[in-house]
Amino acid sequence: MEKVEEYTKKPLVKIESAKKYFIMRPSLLARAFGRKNIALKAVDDINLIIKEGETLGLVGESGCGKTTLGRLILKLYEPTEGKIFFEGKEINYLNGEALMDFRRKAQIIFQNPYASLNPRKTVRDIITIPLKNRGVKDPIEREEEAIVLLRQVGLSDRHINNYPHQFSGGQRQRISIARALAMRPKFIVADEPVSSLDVSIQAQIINLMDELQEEYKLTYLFIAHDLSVIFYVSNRVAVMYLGKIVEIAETMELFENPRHPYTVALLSAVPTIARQEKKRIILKGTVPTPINPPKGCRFHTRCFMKKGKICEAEEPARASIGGDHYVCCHLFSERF
Amino acid sequence: MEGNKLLEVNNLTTVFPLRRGVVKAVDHIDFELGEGEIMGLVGESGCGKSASMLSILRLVPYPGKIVEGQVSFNGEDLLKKPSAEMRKIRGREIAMIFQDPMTTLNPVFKVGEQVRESLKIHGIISNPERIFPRCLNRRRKRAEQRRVLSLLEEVGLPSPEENYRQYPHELSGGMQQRALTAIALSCAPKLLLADEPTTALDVTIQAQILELLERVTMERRASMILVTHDLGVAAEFCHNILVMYAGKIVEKGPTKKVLHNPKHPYTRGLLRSIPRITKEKVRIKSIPGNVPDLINLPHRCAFYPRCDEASSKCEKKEIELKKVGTEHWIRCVLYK
Repeated sequence: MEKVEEYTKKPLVKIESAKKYFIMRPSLLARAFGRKNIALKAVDDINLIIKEGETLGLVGESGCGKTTLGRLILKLYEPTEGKIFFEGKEINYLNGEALMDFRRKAQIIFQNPYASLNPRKTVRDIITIPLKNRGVKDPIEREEEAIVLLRQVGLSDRHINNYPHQFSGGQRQRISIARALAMRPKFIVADEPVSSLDVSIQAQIINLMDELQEEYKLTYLFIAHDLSVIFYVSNRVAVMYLGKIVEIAETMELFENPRHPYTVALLSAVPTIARQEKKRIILKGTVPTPINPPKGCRFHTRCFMKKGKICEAEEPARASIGGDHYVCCHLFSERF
Repeated sequence: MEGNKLLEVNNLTTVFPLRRGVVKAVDHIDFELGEGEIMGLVGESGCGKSASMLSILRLVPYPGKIVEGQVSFNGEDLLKKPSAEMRKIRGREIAMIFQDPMTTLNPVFKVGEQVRESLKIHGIISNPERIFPRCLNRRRKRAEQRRVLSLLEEVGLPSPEENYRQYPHELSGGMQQRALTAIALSCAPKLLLADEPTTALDVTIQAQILELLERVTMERRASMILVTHDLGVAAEFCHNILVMYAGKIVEKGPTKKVLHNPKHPYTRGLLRSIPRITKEKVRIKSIPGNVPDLINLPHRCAFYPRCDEASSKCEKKEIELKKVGTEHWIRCVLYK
């Protein structure tokens, strides 16, 4: 995870001004009173590059849009606006063979190990069906490869006949990883893969994902809300708030020099075993809803470093702090 | 934080006799809690921490039953009290805050009503349905309402008058947890049992709730047992820690001692497996294996199969909790 130089700087995924708005239709009664459709702006104008071989951590609280962003990249949602490129090709226009190729190369691991495996399929089915889709025609070959995959994720051959409910959360997550690997992917969106697991199992899965990344030269988009986990696994970290990326930098840099007030508050809110300064920044209020986000900078309603009227009126532009560290905040807009 | 011991638990044992065998959910635990003290009960799923809390309040669900021990609260053994007396203690002298506020609050009653209910049941306010002159009734009602409103304000709800009239689903997770805290505090309990009160909440909201709990505990000179799986939370908010594994206490002592100088291999393993935000990335080392099946546990150290410092001595019958320093106790053969 510390191999900063080893990954190529080639962008694997490129997101240009992507937006995803969910249109919510009010009830019939509400419409009779003149209520119009409202847009839930889950992802609002995101620009992002994910480099080949890296682990990009995506962190933010509930409702910030990180899961939606992960699904947009995988073409599980269509963007309302904007372009998403994978290996240089715009995924919106992929068809037929090219689309199948993309789907094979870009996989997902879900958060809830209890809801992401088909309870009526055995482990054998769960792993061999993707193998079949990949083109492995011989059932004996599929069985052999399934066993190899199972062993790689730390499970044993005898598990192949079991059903998901017979496994613990950590084991189910391993099965999900084996399933994702069956497609020999290049890129995996890991959507909170360890959040539902016990602490000691989290470490096992994190280490497993690390080993697999090295062995298969994988690129990860690691979505999580646990900052310590993000710190540990990521090469770079992007912080999201209400559909926008407010700050992005290399991991060490972000954690040592957080600039955006939200990042600062987030980091100070994490309870740690060895806290240097006892000062905790407690943010007032709750996250506003993405249905009617605040005008101007989305964070201004809770910001403790608010500059002034400009924060309420204008959305801040992205500014560079230097060396791949970017912030979207009026406090830094003049720096250019 | 010395003072009289508010709570003394000795040899508390709770079992669940199931068809497959007996689960000793709580296995001879003992600890003391003084006035104004916040104790952390730390462990992973299935270790018995929630069962311990329910045992103190005698709320263990069927088929579980408390089979041994004393729970001395203010000098009186709760386990020997008739149920009518226990009902007076629950919610009044000892209050519990549960993990998931969405499922704990009654969805069909307004928040204000639920707080009032607690006050009514414990006779702090009287039942307004009694026959009284109307004018006195109204005054009484308003006085009661003011009392509830001041509670809602104390827990930091943003608009107490509005929140009073709202239903739980109209509040965010953090606000619901504050409402639950208001219910718990309504009768000025001397002891608060908080069972993972922030697990379902976002990091910044978690910080708010923990700060709130810490503040009200201090202000009211109450004591709190904070059940959590998050060692960081325990580190920042608890004076003392109890580490549980498979129903037993394996280590207990002042927080700083246990977390900075852990002696039990499980505690050490746990601390090594948690990613931490530090100046340099430290490799995490996971604890191999899984938490044991609690049914018919063999008579030896439950952690033995996963312990990297195990020896044949560990297989002897029962290992006692031994003192290894001032107030620091360990259950392990490595320590005499």
